[in-house]
Amino acid sequence: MKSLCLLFLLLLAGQAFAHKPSDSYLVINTNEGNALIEGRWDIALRDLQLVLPVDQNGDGVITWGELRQQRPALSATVLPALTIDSVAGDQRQACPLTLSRLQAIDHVDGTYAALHWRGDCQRPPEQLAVGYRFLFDHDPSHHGLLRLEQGDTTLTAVFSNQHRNQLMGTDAGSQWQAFQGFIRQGVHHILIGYDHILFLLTLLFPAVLVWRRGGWQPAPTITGALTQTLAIVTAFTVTHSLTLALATLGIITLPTWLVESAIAITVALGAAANLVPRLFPKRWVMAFVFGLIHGLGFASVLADLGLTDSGIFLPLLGFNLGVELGQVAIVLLFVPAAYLVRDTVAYRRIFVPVGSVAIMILAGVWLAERLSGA
Amino acid sequence: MYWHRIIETRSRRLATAGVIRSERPPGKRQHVSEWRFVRTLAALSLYLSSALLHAAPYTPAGDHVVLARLPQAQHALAPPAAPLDLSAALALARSQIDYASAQGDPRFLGYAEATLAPFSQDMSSPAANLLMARIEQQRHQFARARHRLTRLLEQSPNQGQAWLMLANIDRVQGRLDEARQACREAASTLPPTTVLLCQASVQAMTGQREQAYRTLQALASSPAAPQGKSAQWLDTLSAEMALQQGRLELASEHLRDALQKAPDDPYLRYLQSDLWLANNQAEAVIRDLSAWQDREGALLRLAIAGQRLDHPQVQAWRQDYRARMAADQDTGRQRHLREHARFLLEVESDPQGALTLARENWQQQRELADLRLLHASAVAADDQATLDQLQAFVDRYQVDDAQLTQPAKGASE
Repeated sequence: MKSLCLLFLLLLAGQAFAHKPSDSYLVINTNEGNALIEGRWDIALRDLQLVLPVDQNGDGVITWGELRQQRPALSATVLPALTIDSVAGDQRQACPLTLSRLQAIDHVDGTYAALHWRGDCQRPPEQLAVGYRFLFDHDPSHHGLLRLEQGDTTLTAVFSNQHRNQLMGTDAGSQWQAFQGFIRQGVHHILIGYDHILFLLTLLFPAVLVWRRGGWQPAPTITGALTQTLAIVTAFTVTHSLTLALATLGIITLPTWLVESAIAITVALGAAANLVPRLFPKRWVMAFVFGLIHGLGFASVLADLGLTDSGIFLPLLGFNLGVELGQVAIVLLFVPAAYLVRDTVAYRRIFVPVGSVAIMILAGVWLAERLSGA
Repeated sequence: MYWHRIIETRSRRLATAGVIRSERPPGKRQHVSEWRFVRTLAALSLYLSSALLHAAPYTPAGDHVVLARLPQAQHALAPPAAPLDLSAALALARSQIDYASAQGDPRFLGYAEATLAPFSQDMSSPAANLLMARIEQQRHQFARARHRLTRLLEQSPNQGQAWLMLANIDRVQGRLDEARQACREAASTLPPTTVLLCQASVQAMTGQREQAYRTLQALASSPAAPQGKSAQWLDTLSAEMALQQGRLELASEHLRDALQKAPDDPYLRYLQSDLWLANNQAEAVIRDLSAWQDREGALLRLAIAGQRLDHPQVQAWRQDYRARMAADQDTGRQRHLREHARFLLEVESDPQGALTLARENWQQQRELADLRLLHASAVAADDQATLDQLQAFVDRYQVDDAQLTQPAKGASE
C-alpha cells in the first residue's frame, strides 16, 4: 500500500511544473484537396494566465473549471493571435479559424490548454501563410513551435518575436493533389461565374421546346430535348476548351476587358435568340462560336491561379475537367426540371421570354460596366 | 558578482517523489525484496510517465481537477500591464532576473525583457542595457550581450559594471587576453577588490593560478576584505582554484564558506555536487539535490550520481532529462550544450555523441568545465585531433588543471 502511494506520488511528480522557456505547440493538419484545415494549439497555462485571468479566485491554482470558463475569451482574444491564409500564386485568402474544442494536454513542463480549431480556406491551400503574434508583449522570448502535417509530409517552423510570419511551402503535396485542386477550381469557377451559367441557361431554356407557328411549343419527345441539349453543351465545350488551351499556352492574348465585354455580349445575344429564334436557327452553332469567347474568359481565371510552379498541362486539364463537371451539374439540374414544366404556359409564355429579357438587361449592365471599367 | 556564471537556468518548482525515496538510505540492503518491488514500481512509473510525455489531449474528469500550480512570484513578478517609469522598470526587472536565476525559471527572464523593452532599444539608459545584457548572458546569447556591452561602452566608457560583464563574457568564451584587458578598464570606476577578483578569475586560467590564489587569501584576511556578494565571489573563486589544483578538501572548505553566505545558490550547490562526484560521494549528491530534481542542473547530477549508485530512481531521472533535451531541440534557442554533452558522456555512455556536443559547446564556452568535458569526451571517443586542438589552447594560455592530467572521473565511467 505504501508502495502504491509512492507510485501515485511519482505520477503526480510527472505532472509538476518544470521550468523551461515559454513555448507553445501548434499543429496544423491539411488534407489533400480539402479547403478545410484543422489543428491544435497547446498553450501553457502559465502563459495563458499572462493574458487572461484564468486563476479567477487567485489561489495560485488553475483548475479545469477555471480554464473552461475562459473558453469565450480564448475564442475572442487568444485564437485571433493565430492567423492562417491560404496562398495560391499571388492570391491570398484568409482561412477564418474557430475554436472547436477545449481540452488539456501534458507536456514536459506541465499541463497546457489544448485548443482544437478549424479553419475554412474556401479552396484547398497550396501554401499556408501562418501569422503568429501571441504573448510577445508579455514575454518577448516566447516561441511558437509549428508542425504542419499534410498526409505523409511534415513541415516544421518556429515563430518568435522576430519571426512572426511563416510561409509554409508544400509542393502541393503531390501532383495528384494539385490536379484535384485545379479540378475544384474549375468547378468553383463555373458555379460562381454567373455570366457563363447564364449564357448556358439561356441557350438551354428552349432546349425542351420547339419553335413552331410563331411560338414555343413543348418538345414532343425527351429524345429531341436531349439531342438539343447534348449538341449545345458539346459545341460549347469543344470551343471553350480550345480557346482556354490556346490562351493558357500564350498563343492567343487578348485584354481582359475586351474578353469580358464580349462575354457580356454573348449572353445578351443568347437571350435575344430566345425572343427572335428565327434569326438564330441553329443554337448549337451559337454555342460553338460563342464558346470561343468564353474559353478566353476561363483562361484569365486559370492564369490568376498561378501556373508557374505547376507546369501547364495538368492544371489546364484539371481546370477544364472541373469546368465541364460544373457545367454537367447545371445541365442535370436544369434540363429535367425544364422538361417537366415544358408544356406549362408559364414556362413557355412567361419564363422563357421574361427571363430572356431580364438576362438581356443584366448582360447590358455588365457590358456597360466592363467597358467603362476598361 | 559570480552570478555571471550561473549557467543552470532550468528547474522545476515542486519537490517530487524523489524526496521521499531518498529518505531511505540506499546502502541498507536488508529489505531486498522490498527494494526489488520498488524497482519494479519505478520501472512501471517510468513507463507511465513516458506515456504521459507523449500523451494525447484529454478532457479532465471534472471542474475541480487541478491542472497547474502557478509559481508564487507569478503575480508579483509578472510583466507589467502598462509601461513603467524607468526606475520602477529597473527595480522590477532586477527582481525578475534575480528570481529567474535563483529558481532556474527562464520565463522570468522573458518577463524582465518585456519590462525593459521601452528602455533597451537604444543606449540612453545604461542601467536598462546592463540588465538586458545580463538576461542575454544567462540565455547564453553571448554574442548579443557582448555587442550590447561594447556599444554601451563606446558611448559611456565609465560603466565599470559593463567592463566587468564584458570581462566575464570574454573569460567564459576563452578570449583571455581581452578579458584581462576589460578587467583593467574596469579599474577606473570599480572598487579595487572587485577588479582584483576580476583579474584573479582570468589568472586562474592563464598559468598564474597560484599567485592569484595567494592574492585572494591575503585579501580575505585583510581589513579590506570584501563583503556581501564580493565575499561570496571570493570564496567561490578560491574553491574553484583549489579544485583546479586537485585539493578537494581545501575546495570543500572554501565552498562551505560560500554556501554559508548563500545556501540556496544554484551555482554553488551544483559546484558542491560536482565536488562530491569527484570525491566519490554520490550519496551526498542525491541527498542534497533530491528536493531540486525539477531543475535541469540538479537532474543531471542526480542522474550521474544515481548511475554510479545503481539507484532505483536513476531510470526516471534519466528519462526526465532526455525528455527535456528532446523538448529543447528545434526550439531555435541557444541550448545548454555543456550539460547535454555531460549527460551523454556520463549517463548515456555515448562518448561520440558527447564529443559532438562538447565540440559544439567549445565554440561557445571555454571555461575550465568546458575544457575538462571536451577533454574527457575526446579521451573516451579516442579523438586525437580534438586532443591536439585542446593542447594548443592549453599551451597558449598555460592552463594548468589537475583534472586534465589525471584520468577524468566521468570518462572512466
